Amino acid sequence: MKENRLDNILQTLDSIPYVKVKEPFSGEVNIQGRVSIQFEGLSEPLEFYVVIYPQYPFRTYDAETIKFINKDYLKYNHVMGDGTVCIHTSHNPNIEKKLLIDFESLKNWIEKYYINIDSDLHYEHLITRESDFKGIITSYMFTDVDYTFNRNQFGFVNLSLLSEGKNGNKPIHNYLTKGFVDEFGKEIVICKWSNIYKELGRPNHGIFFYAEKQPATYNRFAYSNWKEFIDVFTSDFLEFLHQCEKEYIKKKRRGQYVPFYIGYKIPNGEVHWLVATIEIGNFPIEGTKENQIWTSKLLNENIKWATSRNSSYKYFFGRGAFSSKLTEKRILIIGVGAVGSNVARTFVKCGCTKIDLTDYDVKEPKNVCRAEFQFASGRTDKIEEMSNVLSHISPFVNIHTVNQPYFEIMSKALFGKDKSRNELEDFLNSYDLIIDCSTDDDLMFVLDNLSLKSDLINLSITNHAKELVCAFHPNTYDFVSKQYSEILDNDVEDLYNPTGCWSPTFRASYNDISMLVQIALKKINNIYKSDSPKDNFIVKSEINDELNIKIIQY
Amino acid sequence: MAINKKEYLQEVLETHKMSHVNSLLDKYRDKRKSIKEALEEHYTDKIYSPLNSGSYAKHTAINTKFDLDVVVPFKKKSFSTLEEMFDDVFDFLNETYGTEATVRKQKVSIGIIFYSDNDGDEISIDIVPGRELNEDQYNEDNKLNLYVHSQYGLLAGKTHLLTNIKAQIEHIKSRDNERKIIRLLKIWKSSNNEDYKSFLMELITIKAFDKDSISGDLCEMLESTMEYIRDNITKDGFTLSDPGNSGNNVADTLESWQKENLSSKMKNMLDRIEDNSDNLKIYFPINPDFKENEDTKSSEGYGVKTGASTFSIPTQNQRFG
Amino acid sequence: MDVEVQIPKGLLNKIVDAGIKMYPKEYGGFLIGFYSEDFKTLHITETILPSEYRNSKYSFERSAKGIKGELKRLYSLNPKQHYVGEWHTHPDNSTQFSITDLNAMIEIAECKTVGINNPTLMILSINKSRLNDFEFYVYNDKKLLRYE
Repeated sequence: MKENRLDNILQTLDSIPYVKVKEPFSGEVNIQGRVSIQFEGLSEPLEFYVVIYPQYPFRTYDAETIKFINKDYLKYNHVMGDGTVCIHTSHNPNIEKKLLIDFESLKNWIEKYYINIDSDLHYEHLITRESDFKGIITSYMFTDVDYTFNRNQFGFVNLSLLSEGKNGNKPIHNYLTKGFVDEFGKEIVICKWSNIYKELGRPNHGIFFYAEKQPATYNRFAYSNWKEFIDVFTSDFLEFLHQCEKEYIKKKRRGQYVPFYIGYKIPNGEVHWLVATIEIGNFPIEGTKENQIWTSKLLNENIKWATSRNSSYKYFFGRGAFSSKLTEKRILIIGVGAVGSNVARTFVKCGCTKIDLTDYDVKEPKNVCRAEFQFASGRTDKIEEMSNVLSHISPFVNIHTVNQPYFEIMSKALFGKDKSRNELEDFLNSYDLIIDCSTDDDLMFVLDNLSLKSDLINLSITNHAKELVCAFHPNTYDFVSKQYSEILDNDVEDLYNPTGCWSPTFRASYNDISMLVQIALKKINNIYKSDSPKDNFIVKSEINDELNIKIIQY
Repeated sequence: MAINKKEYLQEVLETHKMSHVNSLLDKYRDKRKSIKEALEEHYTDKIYSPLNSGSYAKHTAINTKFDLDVVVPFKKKSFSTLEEMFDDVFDFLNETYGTEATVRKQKVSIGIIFYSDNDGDEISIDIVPGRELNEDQYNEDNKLNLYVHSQYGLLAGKTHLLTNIKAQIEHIKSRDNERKIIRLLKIWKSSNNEDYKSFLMELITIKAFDKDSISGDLCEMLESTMEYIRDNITKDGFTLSDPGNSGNNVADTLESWQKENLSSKMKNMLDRIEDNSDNLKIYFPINPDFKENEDTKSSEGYGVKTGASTFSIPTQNQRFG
Repeated sequence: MDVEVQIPKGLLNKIVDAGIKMYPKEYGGFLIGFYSEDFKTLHITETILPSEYRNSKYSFERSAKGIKGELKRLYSLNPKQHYVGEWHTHPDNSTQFSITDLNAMIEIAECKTVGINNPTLMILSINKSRLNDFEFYVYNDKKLLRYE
């Protein structure tokens, strides 16, 4: 079997015209050898050390199990620090075919990056060799700031410990970068997180230096030794570093780590931060005396890079979000039950940042199964619960809870009086979009009679979640009431009416409800994205022999 | 739950008749009369007799949303520019009614909205000043130039609009079926908050009847008209010429996306009504204020006195005023 | 009331011509026609001009003297045509009816020799050369209703 595998590999390599085996392949577990590649257009043959792992042709841990290595090519794009050429090829379970594909891919890399020296339009962050600090992995998240750093600027970074967890089998400490202060402790700028994260506790701090130019070899590999920063760090900064260490030691923190942020500009103009950990008492500097003056010099020591991540809005929602025409809106969600909580959570997951909530109700255990609530927090106000859930999801969403008694009084008891009507209109007009998920007919009537500049959408669901009714102001009240009374077959007999419960509710599961809500929100997003007319619609789901979902457009 | 579409739509029209709001209408008429008299007294021989126009004059008004319009035809020599005329009428109306009403410049008219009276009624009257196109010809050709208030660039850069209000009214007189369809479309417009111009709906309905030989019962006529709009409004070169000024293509007041929207709205409505005739209630609601009970429902036509025949001999002498 | 009225263009022109001849004084006459089978539509077919009348710019009084024969003749036609109402002009004025007009219609409807409950009133606004506007009203229970 082993021999067969090796034979197979050798025969296949033999069949590729541009590949010559320079050192025979062998090995019990990994099969290794050396090849040279030569084809037209290449001035001289290139040699690679090839390792084929036992998983081959399958990928493992999302990585190829064949490696082409040559440290001489580090300066070319897509070569990793250990000299491995980075190839991504397609899946094939057949070893011969997979070899052909992978060598073809190597040939492509040579043509593209070795011969033509292509630099990708797509920028990749610097490659760092990350290491833990005394067995603890540290990770730092940063976001945008409204501030332009000057070259060689330095000072302190304010951090909060966000969470402690596990990464592999090691503990990980996650830090949030909250803001930057100068060497005298004066605030430079606060990072653009939501308020709750700006005010996060468990404070900590680090040191920063803004280099502007990226500290890298071949524009790809972050420096690995402090000595390499010799032309980057200023003597002022080294002196600052020295003073800091003295202070830390005074505070009896010898042996602990301090995060050290090094900032630079990447081609699209953004600032990126690499973070290293430095040990108090072992800062990579030493004092030397020159012409009677003590100065600090960098030591020849390896850098312990930590993990740093740009988690700014753009990266956080980079993989997909709602249209900015929706996400930039100031939104009020009235009623956060099964429908409203699903709407709120989807909005936050899709990039909305300004969401206010109102609901008078308390979350009970029985609400958890189909709303976006959690059992763990027990019995608590629904808006309180939702604020927590939503803030845990996104560090950019600011949730405010509306004063419910005020809203209830303004909209009901005082309705019809000019002054309070105007007050209610002014309040609602301070939003760009209002989603009424309250299924409160009285409130719907009141809102329908207001003259609103903001958009208002009414969402409700019929029993058994057969239909979702979506209506846009000012066509809400008549449309929705007629749908329920005349058009839709809303079963009001078979409601869920549990023992000891005074308030019967419609029957439907989380799956039933969220499917309808998701379809409706997809359509609403599209309406905003394409500036389509805001016409009412119904999402209808029927199960006869097959599941049948359709949108009925009014 | 299917309904009889024709009977339902007849009831819709019935509940939207202006006669249900006669006392309110009387207030409108009184206001209109006093405004007309004030204008005649102020402008004396600078103007011809003010003329009622708008939906009420055209018999296409509905009782849920209406105003009364008055056209004031100025003589050619009254003002040197249309803007002067417009501003002068505005100033005069604002001086006269400013304390009891909101007086504002609109696209081609001056709107007077009286503050709500004790019954909570807000009376609104639109005054449209126009200047005869040819000196001393108004009585013959009825042609007027309207000032287009610049804040509303109807057609970019246009500051005046030639029209013939009388021709517009004539265009729709004695077209009973068209007027019913127009009123239904206006009921749709008003109850579904659509902001298409009534004038456009009027012209397109009349065009549909002229081009498409629309016939059948009320619902069939309505559906055929909607199909006509659906199929034609987006066509290249589709025109709706203003009977008051054939050079004015009213279809041009809609952007092409607005035409697309109108067409797709007609399509959705037709589809929904076909799915379920109850959907008529969504698009063409009955005015619940004037809905009659089943047993007192008006099926009443012209009455003949009990025991009498229609053969009548009128009163001997009768005086009219 | 849920009723309609129809008048042929030619008859309208005939009425307008008769009215303009009398300008600036008011003028009027009798309306003749028949109801559809469901009594929902009134077809006006003819006018009879009064043989005796008195008029001014603001009033018009007609007599019914001498029209009985003509009424009989019309009633013998198929369909039977009969008296359905009145018309008169308002020179240089609106088509709005006056109190006098309403009172006249009340008297007509209540007259024993009139067999119909809902006589029609047509008012024409004219000037010296042409028709400005016209309006039909149907009388019902002491009120004049505009046709819609």
